[in-house]
Amino acid sequence: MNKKTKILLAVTIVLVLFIAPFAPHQLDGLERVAHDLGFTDKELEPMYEIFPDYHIPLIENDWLGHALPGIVGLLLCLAVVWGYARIGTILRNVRKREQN
Amino acid sequence: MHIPDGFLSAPVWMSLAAVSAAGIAVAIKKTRLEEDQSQIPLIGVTTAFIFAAQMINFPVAGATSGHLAGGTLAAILFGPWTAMLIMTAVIMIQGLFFQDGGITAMGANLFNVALVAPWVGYGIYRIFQKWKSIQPVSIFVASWISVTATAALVAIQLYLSGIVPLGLAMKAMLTWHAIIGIGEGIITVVVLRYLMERQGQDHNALATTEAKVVEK
Repeated sequence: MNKKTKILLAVTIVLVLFIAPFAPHQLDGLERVAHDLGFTDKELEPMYEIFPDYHIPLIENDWLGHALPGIVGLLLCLAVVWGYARIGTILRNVRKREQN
Repeated sequence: MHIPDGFLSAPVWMSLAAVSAAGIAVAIKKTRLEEDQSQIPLIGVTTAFIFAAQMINFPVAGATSGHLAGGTLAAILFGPWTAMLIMTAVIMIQGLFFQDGGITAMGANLFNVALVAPWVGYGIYRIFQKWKSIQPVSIFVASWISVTATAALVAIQLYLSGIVPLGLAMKAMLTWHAIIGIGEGIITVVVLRYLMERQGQDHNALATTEAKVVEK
């Protein structure tokens, strides 16, 4: 991992731990439009909830309740990319072996 | 701009899910991440960065808020095919784990954010690519158009689902996202300028990196 990647990772961790938990919770663009044009009631409840609104409601500490799901999401992103590349490598090796 | 469940009619979300699945399948065929292992850490960290940046809403005109979408950022860094996979990972993680964007609406969200946004941003960027001196401007314009185009698509999808008249939806979506797109443009310019400078590369060198990942 080069220096530039490390710095981007550090920035990402700072965003998740110290900026995102304190970001304003205003309606986003689509929510605003739904509100203005009166179709918010069409929205269905989620089928299930794991971290609704990037938050663990059970955790009383507000900062931790927001920071923890953020870290989970960050790790999921890294794991998905790494896993995807890993599967690609394994498949390539299998193909190579079949060719030999 | 994540569409929740309930906004789209079944024919709309089903057809968009089919188109997205096909598009992502092509992207998977086109990218060979394993052939350039050195790119994987930066791709992973960029995915995490886009996820984190999407958690941070900046207030817009006291009435709404926006956050980075990231499609243009990923497409200029790694090429549109890899960007499609990066944005697919972000949208799926957000929908499945954070209830940001619906499950039935996921195909539509993938279509807007993971298919159209990176290609539009990349296409516009490539048009201006030969004028290096205005590179920040072209990155800004590409990001802005990418966001407003996505907003227009959402308006069309809402209209096709019988939720709102097209004119009303289009005007409302474009008004807010024209402002949100300015934020997208600024963040994308700042991050890309930094990443490109740190690499000590001009765009040609970046294009070479991209060619290694993509177009196999």
